[in-house]
Amino acid sequence: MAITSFREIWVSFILIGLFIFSMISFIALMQDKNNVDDSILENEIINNTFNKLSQNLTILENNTQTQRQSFESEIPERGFGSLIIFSIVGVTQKFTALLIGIFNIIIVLPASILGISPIVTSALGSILLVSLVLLGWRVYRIGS
Amino acid sequence: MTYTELQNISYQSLKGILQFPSLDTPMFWPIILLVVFITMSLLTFFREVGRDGKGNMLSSLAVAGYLTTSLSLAFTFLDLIMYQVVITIFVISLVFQVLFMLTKKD
Repeated sequence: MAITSFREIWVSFILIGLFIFSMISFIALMQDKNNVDDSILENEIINNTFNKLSQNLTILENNTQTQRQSFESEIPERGFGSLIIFSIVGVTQKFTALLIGIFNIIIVLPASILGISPIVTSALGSILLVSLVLLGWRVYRIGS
Repeated sequence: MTYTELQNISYQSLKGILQFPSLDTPMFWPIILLVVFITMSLLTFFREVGRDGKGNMLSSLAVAGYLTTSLSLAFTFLDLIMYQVVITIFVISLVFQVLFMLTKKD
């Protein structure tokens, strides 16, 4: 069955990007450690793809963070037949910040100590941030 | 055609012996990898069909892709295949793995 929701396709592609990055990293690292003469990174296309993917995944969290701040700074407007309670807006903003703080403790801290690549935490962080923005938007729209 | 004989090769270590078939038939190890890929995918597919009554060919191809990529990586340690072969195998297996991940399971 085809994927229809934005969040699902976003998460799927982030995980696929992470998967491709880890596969190429693994192959390149193993070849390097075992003194293989012809590494796959000698291929220009693979090398460029790997570097671009690495850059994209690294800046992913910063880009998402910027979008989240932009979303939170906007004041929702009343549409025709809709009702916005501004305390709800405040609750959404404060509690998403709390969730991000907890995420930093339960994911980022162990990842730093266990030596997991910042790219992985960046990808996971961006998934969380996009989910929070979409959930916040849902709260604005239908109040749940 | 005169084939190379074992006594004619100077490098008679494990690496040299394993490279021996490639001297006259460069496609030997890539064909072995192709056979592993086809065998593994069909084996897992028909095992699933036998057990559950229906199989998922995409998941079988994805699993076979993991195996073939790992084997091709191990082959490069012994200089049995060139990096272009690894890239080809990696990209082919990646297609199946990505398609499998994008397929929504119900």
